[in-house]
Amino acid sequence: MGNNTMTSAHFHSALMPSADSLSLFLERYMRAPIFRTHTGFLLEDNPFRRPLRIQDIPLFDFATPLDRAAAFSASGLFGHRLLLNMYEADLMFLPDGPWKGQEQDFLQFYNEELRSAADLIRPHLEQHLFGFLDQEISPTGPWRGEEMRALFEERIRIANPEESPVMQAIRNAKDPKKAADFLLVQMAGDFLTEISAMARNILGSYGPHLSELFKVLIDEYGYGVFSEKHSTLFRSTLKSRGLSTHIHAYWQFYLAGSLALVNYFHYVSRNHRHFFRYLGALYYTEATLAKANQQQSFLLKHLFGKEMDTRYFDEHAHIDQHHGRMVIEKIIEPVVSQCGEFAAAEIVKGFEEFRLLQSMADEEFIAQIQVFDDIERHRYLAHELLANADLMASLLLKRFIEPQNELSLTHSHDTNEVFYIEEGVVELVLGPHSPVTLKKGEAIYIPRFCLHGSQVISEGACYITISLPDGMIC
Amino acid sequence: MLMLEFDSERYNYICLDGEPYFVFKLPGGRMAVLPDRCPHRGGPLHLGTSDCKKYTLTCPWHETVFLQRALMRKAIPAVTLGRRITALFPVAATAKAVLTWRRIIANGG
Repeated sequence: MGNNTMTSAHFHSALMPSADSLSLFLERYMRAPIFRTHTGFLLEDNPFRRPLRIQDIPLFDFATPLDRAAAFSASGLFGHRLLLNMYEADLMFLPDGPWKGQEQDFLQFYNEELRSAADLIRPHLEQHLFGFLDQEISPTGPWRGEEMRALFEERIRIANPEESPVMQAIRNAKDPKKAADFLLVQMAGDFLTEISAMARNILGSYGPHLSELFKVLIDEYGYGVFSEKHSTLFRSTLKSRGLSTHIHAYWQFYLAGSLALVNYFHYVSRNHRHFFRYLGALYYTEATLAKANQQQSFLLKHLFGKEMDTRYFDEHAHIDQHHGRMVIEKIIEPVVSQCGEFAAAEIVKGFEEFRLLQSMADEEFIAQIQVFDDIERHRYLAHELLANADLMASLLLKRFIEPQNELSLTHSHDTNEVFYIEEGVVELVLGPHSPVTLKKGEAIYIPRFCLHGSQVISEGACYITISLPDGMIC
Repeated sequence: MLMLEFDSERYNYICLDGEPYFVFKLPGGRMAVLPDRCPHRGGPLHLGTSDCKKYTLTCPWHETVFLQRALMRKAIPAVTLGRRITALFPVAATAKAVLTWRRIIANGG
């Protein structure tokens, strides 16, 4: 004992970087060229390159957890992109085609120094992005199998309406095909690397539960047959719509919520102290996906006809009926019998957490496709706001002068904004198929948290961005 | 089993076929649902006093002091999502449920 004693609390805090040194590690991490270079809004066949808006870093405080309202804010979007990079450095990627100079990017992506920096940043980022779940969701009391099952049955019954809000929003959109394609783009961030997070949980030794989980995994992996692997089926889906099948081609169009859903599974799978939360989240998805996939298959066939390859959704509509049953009967219930109330409470927590994240992601998706439909109204709104001289005089205007082809990577803002073109022509992008051309004198209103990017189309352009005051809801 | 979901800022007291329960605030902001019957002689625990430093709750009838963690062994399984609480009670699904708002002295009210 004596002066050299270090308590477990001291030991933990000595290893975790302070908020100040977090900035230093972030700056080192972001130096990697794979995060800085880009050639357009769509990525070519290069799974290692994930562009980030480096200049936005000083705006964010990753040392402080976001609350639920801000979970998918500008900081949430940036943070989830960063976090996915860190998690996916544990996964093995190769480009789809012959290598054409990706060797350096490959070495950078798996660079040891980058991984070391990520290991120090990641716990802070996880707290920043997922810490609100601990505040929002808390099981108390002695949870046992019977209560857990009763809760799950009721939640799953509610989660499977005749038509989900997302399907309704797509069906009711002005351009349902564009909205459906945007949904496929959101799914690409997860389905092209499907089940990689689950695979983290089949390492080690924890009895028959592991073997049962492995059975789910081998279904997803197509029994070792590449053409039957679920991620391959999803590639066929994308191809049938003329969408890119390369991993993270649509990196810049993943919404924060879509990223959060992928990242959550990595979060609760990478550190196995969260294993029981993983099981709860897994059960929520498996138990609700069968019906969700059935609806998705039906809607996609209705919209796109015979040319649409819906095998991914049809397979899931079938197999997830089994997976839902397998996870509860063969994994969760035996785990609760073995590990008791502690495990049951954590499983409930994971189930509720993913249920919450899914509903938040659905709301965000619906809001984004609503923006596609509101272009004319937002143009009108912007001009109304600009015409209010008193208001404009009180606000901060930022002026940008940019050359031709200058590209502003997609991002979002925490305030509502007006985007006004003083000179030239700028293309605003809200999705991979949603360009809005703005000429001199034109303007548009951009709601807070709306994902958008821009590119200068003319020889040069000058534009202004105006942040509207908090509480000014339009 | 009866599952009830309610807004904890509107209701904090539940009667199921005459059996009372109350929402008890734990340290750190978590909420539990406890039977409102002292294990000693059935006194109204919701009118007892809490000690945040010692993590105890004292029954107002005979001043029996209980550790909160001991009372938690009798808690009803519940999960909160923000201000909403979902609780599963060991009564028939057809039990008559009455939800109200009361002053809960045990929560410092």
